[in-house]
This record gives sequence, structure tokens and C-alpha cells, in this order.
Amino acid sequence: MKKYLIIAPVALAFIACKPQNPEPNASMGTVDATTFIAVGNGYVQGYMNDALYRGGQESSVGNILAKQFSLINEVSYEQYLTAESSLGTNFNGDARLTMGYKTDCNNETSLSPVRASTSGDASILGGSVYSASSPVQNFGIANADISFFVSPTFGSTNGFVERIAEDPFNQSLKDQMNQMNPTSYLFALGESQILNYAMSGGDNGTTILPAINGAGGNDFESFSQSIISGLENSASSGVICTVPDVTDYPYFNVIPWNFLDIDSADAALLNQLYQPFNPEMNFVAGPNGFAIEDPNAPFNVRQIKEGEFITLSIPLDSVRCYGMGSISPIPQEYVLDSAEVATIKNAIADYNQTINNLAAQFDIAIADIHGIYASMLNGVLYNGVDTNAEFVTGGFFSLDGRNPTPKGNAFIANEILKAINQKYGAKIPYCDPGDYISVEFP
Amino acid sequence: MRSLLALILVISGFTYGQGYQVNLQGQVQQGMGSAGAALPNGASSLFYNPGASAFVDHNDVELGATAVFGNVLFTDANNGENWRTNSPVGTPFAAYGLFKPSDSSKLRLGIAVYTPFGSTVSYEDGWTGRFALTRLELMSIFTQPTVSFQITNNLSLGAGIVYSYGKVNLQRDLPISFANGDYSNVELSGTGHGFGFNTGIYYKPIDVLSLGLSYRSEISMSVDDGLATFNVPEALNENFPDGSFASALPLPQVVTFGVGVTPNEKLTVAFDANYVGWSAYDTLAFDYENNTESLDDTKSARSYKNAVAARLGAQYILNEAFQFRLGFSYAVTPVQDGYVTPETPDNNRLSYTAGFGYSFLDKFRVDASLLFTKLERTDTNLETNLRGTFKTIVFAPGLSLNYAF
Repeated sequence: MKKYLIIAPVALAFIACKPQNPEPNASMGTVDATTFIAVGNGYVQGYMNDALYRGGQESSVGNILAKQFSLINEVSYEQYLTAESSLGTNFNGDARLTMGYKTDCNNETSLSPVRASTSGDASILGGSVYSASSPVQNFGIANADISFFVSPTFGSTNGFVERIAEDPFNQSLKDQMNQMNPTSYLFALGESQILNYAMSGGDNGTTILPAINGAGGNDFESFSQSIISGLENSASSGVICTVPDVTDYPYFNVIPWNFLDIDSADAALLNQLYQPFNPEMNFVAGPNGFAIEDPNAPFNVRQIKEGEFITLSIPLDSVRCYGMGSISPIPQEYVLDSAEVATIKNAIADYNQTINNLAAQFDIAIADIHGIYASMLNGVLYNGVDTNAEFVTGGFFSLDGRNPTPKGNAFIANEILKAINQKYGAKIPYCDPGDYISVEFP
Repeated sequence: MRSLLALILVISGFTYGQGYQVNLQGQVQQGMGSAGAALPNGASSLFYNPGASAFVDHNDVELGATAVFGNVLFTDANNGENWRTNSPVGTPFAAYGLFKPSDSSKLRLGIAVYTPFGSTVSYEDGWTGRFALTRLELMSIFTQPTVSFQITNNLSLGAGIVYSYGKVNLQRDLPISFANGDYSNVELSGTGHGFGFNTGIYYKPIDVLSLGLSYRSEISMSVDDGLATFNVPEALNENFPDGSFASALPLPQVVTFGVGVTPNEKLTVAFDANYVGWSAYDTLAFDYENNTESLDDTKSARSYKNAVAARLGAQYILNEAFQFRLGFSYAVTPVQDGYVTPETPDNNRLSYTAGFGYSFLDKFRVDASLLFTKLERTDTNLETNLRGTFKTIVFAPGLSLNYAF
């Protein structure tokens, strides 16, 4: 009884003695996110693991931003989610990439990115799913050229454009956005202009749209001005994103330039094979630069140098078992040579200069997405987890080696929120990247 | 691919008290700010100062336990999100027996069993620091056979050998996702033991004044054959093999100087100063038996510094039946900036205590005590970059039964 008398008041006091939550300190500042529109490429769309699929869409940068806005004022955000069970699809109809087991030409089985199925979810590219009662707010389209957004005809050439377009053949996405009278927007185009060129090895007739002064107004600045000025008609806040250095993506770094590791006998053989044509080629025991095609080299062949890149699209079995890169040079479409790298680097600098000018012209926030990607080269330590640009294990890039994971998108969204908070006197809470996954393992 | 999976495991350390020390070894002392090195307070003096035990003038047996309610709130400085602990109630206990071989003997023999370090801290599901810690259970039991001897009628010495046995269970998440999106986790569990000693001098120059000096040695609790259990996707089982690990946790040495003042028969005032050798906790290392390219041995800096604590308490004897006690203590944290972890979100702490005793049936006494402390620490951990504020409230009521014969 005595014990009971002591414990009861003690227990009551205890309940009153939990630390109290601090007063919440969040505000939208001058941002009105009632009708928020996100325009951009892969990370805005939530395209990842080389596919559009539900899990990626749910952690699109557009959706993460809308979620954070909703912590203050509930806003709706429509992005036309694919089916829960969908395998997703890329532009060619392939299913999403996932970690699985792959057996190579040497009959070695290893854990590797593989397609989740032999074919993707064709229904995703099966036409417009536009609904007038809930118009789409996510205008992110991976690898889409900026011209797709200003011209009314591109719904016929790109299934992802067609999917979200109200009238794919007669109305531009730009006009579709404007008729919604957006109150705030994210503009994150530009990356695809440069990435598409880089992914094709700078070949196959691809060029990079000039940043400014293009013939007939065909340049990044003019297209951007056309889109942004439309949004500005109704929006009171906006944020624009800089373009990352795409040559840092795993897509161009997973296979190092000097990954040709051979013994002295093979080195002698390759020297015998190539030196009569290009005496500068010299193979030694150990790691060597691969043999590549180059129309400017003697007999169109030379060794790749440091600072040049091999794309992840290279057929790996050809390299492993059939002498690609050694007895036969790697075709140009899988190689970024130093001139192409320079073109890319210059374009990134020009685009980012233009993006800075656009931010000033329209007096909108500018998010240093270039900086966020760059910080991933050394890694970012956040509440016990290091996230970096390493392929598969780094956590930032998805298995396609170019689009971020959900966790990567969380870091990007936070950088955008930082820019919005600074520009518009807002205190929108940042998301916790730990709540977003990276690569999933079987 | 395996070489790409070089995920370094960094595992961390421990909870409450000052650092991970728990100063709850006797209800009388707990009521008086846990001071008592200069007081022959019955059998529990075996812990506080074995030297003083020789001046306990009867056989004495004491059994007691304390319920520790600890609540931690973590506010993430990155985004203001709040996370709480849901730790179970800690129950440190102490059992003492002190015996006088004959009526005229100047010798006392004692046995003490107590739990000076350890508790369980667990954080709510999904909390942002889960890659640093989700749950830590640390338990240690010290057994101390002791001899205490009156050299003169105002000076005594005492010493005991301490055998400690401990259990540890540490869990945290790993930033590796299963196919269903769940995170992986690791559980490290093991038992350890160590030896040390507890010794003291007691001196009572005049009736109203007593002095005490005690020294408890450092004990290194070594876990030689712990078990690391990894719950990771099947494809990575080879990278993270379950297996044995070794580690060690130092339980620091403590020097205590105590003063007791008894101005009259009813009032006793006690003051203790502790100097605790926390610098022994410099590094927490885990040595895995099966290292892989993904699983390296780890060494995490803890860099604790030696720290002092001061304790002041008083007891007032109302009548033959009732005694009342009050006290407070101030402990300087051993945890430096940059080294605050979810296991030990420590800071300088002011604790308030109160207690009372009730004597009955001539030989029995019940003692109750209550401790309250509240602290706050804001830090960015250098190893994990966990950034935010820990607010802790600890509330510890305790009860003991004493039998003197």
C-alpha cells in the first residue's frame, strides 16, 4: 500500500515530464503553392532506373516539393501516376532496371543492373491520360528537348509528352501549363540538351542547342524565355535550376578509360597489330587506355586518354569476350573524346550563365543543382549516411547511371527549397533524405 | 560488383548518468544527491566508501531498486522534425550485506551487488538517426566482496574486489534497401566481464565532522566473442557475414572525496566531490572476425574527457520513525562538442533529489528516493553529421528495505 502511494503520484509527474516539442517555425513566405507546376527533365519527372514507374514518380522532385509545401498548406499535386504493379517503361518500351543476376559471355554470374522483365509496361506510352478535372502539374520529361515544350507537334514523336498532353497534336505543353494559371513553378530544363549529346557519344548527328543567339531564335535562352514568361503571367514565385556537369555521371565513369588490363604477351600482340598504323599506340602490361575509333587519328584509330569517357551503353560482352577496345577499336558512339568533352563543358558553362541571366531577368530564385551534383563526388554525410556519386553503392544515382534515386531527388529538392526559402522569405521545412531509398537489392 | 559495396560500418557507444554512469546505488544517498563517501550509511557504504563500512555498528542488509524513466526528444536541426525515445524503464538495483564477526570486532565483512553502469535507450521507428543507433541495451552487474577495518576509533580502511559482468546489445539500420524498400540493419550482442577494486579511507576527527576518500578503479569490460547479426538483402549476405566480433568498453575510475557534518543529532549534511576518469573512453572499436570488402573493422573516436561532479545532501531525523532527505548534484559532462551521440546525449547536468526513511518494528527501515534531472545538448556529431538538439528528462523513483540486526 505504501509502495502504491508513492508510485502513483510519481507516475503522474512523470507523464508531465516529457520534453516538449519546440514551437514549429514554418512558413510559405510570399510563395503561393496552390497551383504549383514543375517543368524539367528526369529528376522532375521521377524518371529513374531508366524508366517511368510508380515508385520513381512518387519520389519525383516535383512530388517531394509538393509534399513539403503540404506540411504548411495542403496542396494537391497531380502527376498521373502509373499503376502500382507496373514494371515501368523507357522510351523504347524496356522495363525498369533493377539489381539482379546476370551471366556474362565468360559464364560468370554476378550482381548487376538488369531489366526487371523482358519488356516494359507498354500502356504507359499508350496515349494521353489527360483529365480536365485533374490537370497534370508535373511537366517533367526525361531526355526531352526543350523544343518539345514550346511546339504543339511533339506529342506525336514522344510518348511521354503525349501521355500528359491535353491535345498532343494541336497544343503545346507550354500553353497547357499557362491555361492552369499556375501560382508558382519550378523550371529545370537544360540538362537533357547536353545529356542527350553526351549519351550518344557526341555522334549520330546530335548537336547541343546553342545557349544563346541561335538561328531563328532556336536557342535555350529564347525557348526558356518563352516558357517562363508564360508562367510569369499568373505565378508570383518561381525557381530555376542550374545544369549539372553530366560528365561526372556514372554513365560516363563506370567504365574507366584505362580499364584494359592485360599481360605483356597481349600487350605485345596489340602493339604488333596497331603500331604499323599508329606508332603512338603503345600497350604495356597492366592497365591501358582502350583502342578507340577517331577519324582524326592515323588510320582512324588511337588509344583513349585520361579525361575522355566511355559510355555505359557500350556492349560489355563485346569488350569482355570479343575484343572491343583491344583488337577492334571502340566505335565513336560509345566514346566522348576530348573535343566532345570540351563541347559539353563549354555548353554547361554557357547554359548556366544563361540560367543565371534568366533568374535575374524574371527576378526568380535560382537553385544550385550543379553544386549539389558536384558535392556528390566527395559525398555528403547526412545524419549518419554518406551519399555519393558512386554507381550502385553511392546512393545518389539510380541504376541507369544518370538519373538520381529517390534519395538523390531528396537532396535536389532540398537545394530547391533552400533557394525558395532565401528568395521568398519562406521557411519551408526540408525533407529528410533518409526517408528516401536509393538502390534496392534482391 | 562486390568491391563497389564498400560500406563502412561505424558503430557507436552508450547512456544516462554522467556519460553512461548511473549513480543510483543506495536510497539514503540518492535522497541526498548521491553523496555519502563520508557517512557510514549502513551496508550501502560498501559502494560509496568501503572504508566507512567499518563504522557501521551492526549487521546490516539492504535491498533496493530504482525505476529510471528517461525521455529524450531529438529535434533535427536540418528540418525541425522531432523524434523521441521509447526506452523501457531502467531498473538499476543494489543488494548489500554487511556483517560484524563478533560484538567487539573492529572488522567488517561485506558483500555488495550493484549496477553502476548501463540502461536501455531505444528510439522510435523511422527516426532520422537510425543509421547511427536504433537501440542500445547495456547492463552491468558488479559483485564486490569487501573487508573493512577500524584502525583506531576514528580511522578505518576498507577494500573490495570487484567482478563485473555485462551484457550489451546494439542495433542500428544500414543504408541498404531491400527490394521492398525496407532498410537493412545490424545487431551486435555480447557479454563481457572485467575485474577491478573499490577502496576507501574514513576519518572522523571530531564528533561533528567526518571525512572520506574512496577510489574505484577502472574496469575494462571486454567483449571477446560477441555476435554480429546482419539483416541484409540475400544478394549481400556474403558481404556482411554474421559472425563474431570483439570490443571493449571502459568503465572509468572514480576518486571521491567526501565531507560529513553532523551539527546535532537530528541533522546530517554530506558533500561529495567526484573526479571521474572518462578519458579512458577515447575510442570505441569493433573488430570483426570476418572482414570483407564491405565490412571493415571500425574505430570511432569518443574522446571523452575527465570530469568532475559535486554532490550536496542533507538528512533530518524527525523522530524515531521518520527521516527526510534533500539534495542536489552537478555533474560536468565528459562528452566534448562534436562527439554527442544518440546513446549518450549528455551535457552538464543539475539533478535534484529528495527522499525519506521510515523505521518500523525496531530493526526495519524503508527508504524511498526521487531524482529529477533535465538537460539539453545541441551538437553536430563529427562522425555521423547528426545535427540537432537532444532534450532529456530523467525521473527516477526508488525504494529499498533495510534490516539491521
